[in-house]
Amino acid sequence: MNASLPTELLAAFDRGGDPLEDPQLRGWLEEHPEHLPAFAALRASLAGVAAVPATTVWPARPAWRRLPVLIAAGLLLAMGLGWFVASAFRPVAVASPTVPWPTLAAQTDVRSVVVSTHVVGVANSLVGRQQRGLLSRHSRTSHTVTGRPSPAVTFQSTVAFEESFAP
Amino acid sequence: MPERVASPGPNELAVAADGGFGAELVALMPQARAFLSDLRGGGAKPGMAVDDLVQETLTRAWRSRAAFDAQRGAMVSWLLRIAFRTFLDSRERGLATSELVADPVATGPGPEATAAARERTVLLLGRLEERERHLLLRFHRDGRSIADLAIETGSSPGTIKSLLHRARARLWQIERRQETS
Repeated sequence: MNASLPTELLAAFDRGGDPLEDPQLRGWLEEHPEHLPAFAALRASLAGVAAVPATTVWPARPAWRRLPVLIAAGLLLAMGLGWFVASAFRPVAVASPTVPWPTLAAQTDVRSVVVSTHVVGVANSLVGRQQRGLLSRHSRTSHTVTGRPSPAVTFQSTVAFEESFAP
Repeated sequence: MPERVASPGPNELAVAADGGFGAELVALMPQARAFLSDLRGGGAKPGMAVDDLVQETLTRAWRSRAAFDAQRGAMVSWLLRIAFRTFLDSRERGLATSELVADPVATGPGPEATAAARERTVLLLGRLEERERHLLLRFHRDGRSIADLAIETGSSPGTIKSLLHRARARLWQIERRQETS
């Protein structure tokens, strides 16, 4: 016997009343005797349902039956939390395809550069500092790039200032 | 009154020199009996008692043994088809068996069995989701139509139908699991 019921059997009860009153179904059952036990068992069960008193108090479902739901909810919560933490502390990209990168001095000329990164729309900012070599002369240039926020780019980098050796 | 003439007993069948047909028939009788018991318990129409149905099925199967062809299908399907036909015939002759109907011992379960069956149904229903149980009760007990339930729950009739199918399938599966465990 199959572990599932054919649609013909499940739908036979949609009309209400005793499905055996339907000659078409009787014919179908005689052609498919392998489904007879399942049909008889289901018909008997549903006849039992019809006799259940309206005053019956239904017990609450045991807690262990809700366990899979609770585990799934916990996993989802953990995944969401992990994603949030990872996004908040992700190393900030120096450049973005939509934010024009300022023209800086050649790397060998750079004495120091301070880059600040601001997350648009979030009250948070990260500042990175990089020192390169010691120079006797240096110039200082500031660049500020302001990109418009977009769904694809949620942060922008601002080069606060750069100290470069004058060529 | 069902025909009882010339119906062989299980022992007679078992020893019959028929290539094991009788023995196989006897071995299948519990299955046929359970099936007929379900059929008998699932309807409100009067009819023959389960024991009479089993006896009548056995008699018909014995008489038709020459028609059984193992190449065409399993013997259990052949026997259940005969049992089903026997049951349908007994339903059609419902009033002709009124003398049996009048005898509660012969025709139906007693109050204890009825109460036990009800308790079993309540336990089965208790294992369904609340929504499935609610729909089954509203449809099969309270006689609400699918259209009524669609209005009542704010769902489409198609959704109600699907939910009812699922609830019936779940009920059957739960009962089946209980029987096999």
